[in-house]
Amino acid sequence: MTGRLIKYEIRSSIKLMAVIWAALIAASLLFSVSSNLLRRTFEGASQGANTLVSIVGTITGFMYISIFIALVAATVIIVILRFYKGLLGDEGYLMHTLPVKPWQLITSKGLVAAGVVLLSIIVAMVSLAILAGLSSLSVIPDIFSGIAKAWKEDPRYILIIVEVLVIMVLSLLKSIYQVYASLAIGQLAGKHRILLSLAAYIGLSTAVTVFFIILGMIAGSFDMVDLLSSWDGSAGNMFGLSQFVIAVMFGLTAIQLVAFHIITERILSLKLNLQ
Amino acid sequence: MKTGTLIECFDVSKAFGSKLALNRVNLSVGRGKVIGLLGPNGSGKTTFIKLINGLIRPTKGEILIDGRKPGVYTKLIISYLPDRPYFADWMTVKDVLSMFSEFYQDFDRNKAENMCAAMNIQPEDRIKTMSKGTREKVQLVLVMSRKAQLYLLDEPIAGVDPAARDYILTTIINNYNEDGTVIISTHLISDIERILDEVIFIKDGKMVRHESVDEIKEKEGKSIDDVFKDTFRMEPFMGVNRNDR
Repeated sequence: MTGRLIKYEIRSSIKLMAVIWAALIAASLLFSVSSNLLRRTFEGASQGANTLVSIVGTITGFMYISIFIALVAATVIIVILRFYKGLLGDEGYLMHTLPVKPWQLITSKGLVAAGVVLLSIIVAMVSLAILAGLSSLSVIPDIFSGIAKAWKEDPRYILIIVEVLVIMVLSLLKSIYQVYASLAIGQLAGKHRILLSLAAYIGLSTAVTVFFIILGMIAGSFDMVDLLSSWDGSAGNMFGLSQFVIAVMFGLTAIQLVAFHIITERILSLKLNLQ
Repeated sequence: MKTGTLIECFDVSKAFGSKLALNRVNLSVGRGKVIGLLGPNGSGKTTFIKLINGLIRPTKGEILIDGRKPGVYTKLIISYLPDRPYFADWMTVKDVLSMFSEFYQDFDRNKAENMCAAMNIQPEDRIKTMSKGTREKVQLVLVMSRKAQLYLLDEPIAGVDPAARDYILTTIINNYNEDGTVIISTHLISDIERILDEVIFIKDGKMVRHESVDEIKEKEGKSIDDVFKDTFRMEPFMGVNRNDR
């Protein structure tokens, strides 16, 4: 059932985002053509032609920046609205009466939202690469040769890269779940739901900070800082240190993710307040 | 065919803050019946329906549907029509039909498609561009195309013209699973009286009456509409008496 929910969630999110993703790529192509190709073609031409090229460059540049801002805004709005409208608004009357559990609804929304954010980041990077021109494509073989070199030197480097990527995705999902938990708390209010959601977001962020401070104090009392600084710089030990740091970061991110998921799930199960 | 009680409520109360929306409701509903959940606006009808279909939880007491607490199983056997449109903006008729086919095993897609075609609604039509009335009809088609054990219809005839009311009531009567029970909440009694087997009167969050239509008519010699008016009669404000000034 979660798979079916994900399928419908993708369809609802993709319709708007696909237009913006395509528009950003088109705008970056236009801007790239006007700022590189046209400028080169009209090099040494009359002043009038050069002015025209500058105007076209300014317009396409402005278009690109506007669509880039729209992409950032739309991504954030889609993440929030797909949850708010889909589960806490009128659509909630359909979604909450489907024969599925609340955690399946939350998971489907969360996974698709994370996918949308990741795709937006990839599209933004591709558009920047287009702006940088063909020369930027040489970076791709450089990256692969770098990976091959690292693999040859010590295959464990690749493991570290994969672990860091996993933590980044987990961290993204955690941030989305924090927004969901805040919105779920906000819907408890009869009025001023958005205001309470905002206050809940600040409250949850503060709680996480306090949690980290307490954890830091506990680590300090066990002389963890001394332990880490005493780690010698040999390759084997540095790998061990990186694994320790990654494990701690993974654990802390996972704890937050699970906590935000539980908050959201419990509220939607026990205190759903559809207007 | 299943037998026995379909809905059981044991001392069910629901409070929203300090306001008690339902107050110690005890109820037992059987199968194969069309039941009117009747009460004035704000009496607790929608709260009761939301409790039955698991959208909200009772503050006190217990509800059992087919012997189970509201959850995934009860959602599989309940077909619910809310008092508002619940489709996402991007959906077409085809999308909602596919969604119902995938989530509900008892959904008869052919029947739904034929009902849509009879109303000249095309599968490619976008829900967003439909009139309010057409959207309500599509929702009704979806709900009544399921072979559910319990149909919960919240104010299906509110805010529609008399011709549409006839269409809605005829659709309900001709399409519900006869082994199942239909609960229709409304305050427009005269329109639905002819199709009801039983009525539940709800007043200020309390179930004040649950009887068969035939029994009421036999006992009181009046239509359900008249009994409703007597039960929920309010004293109109006649202005301030001169002597009281």
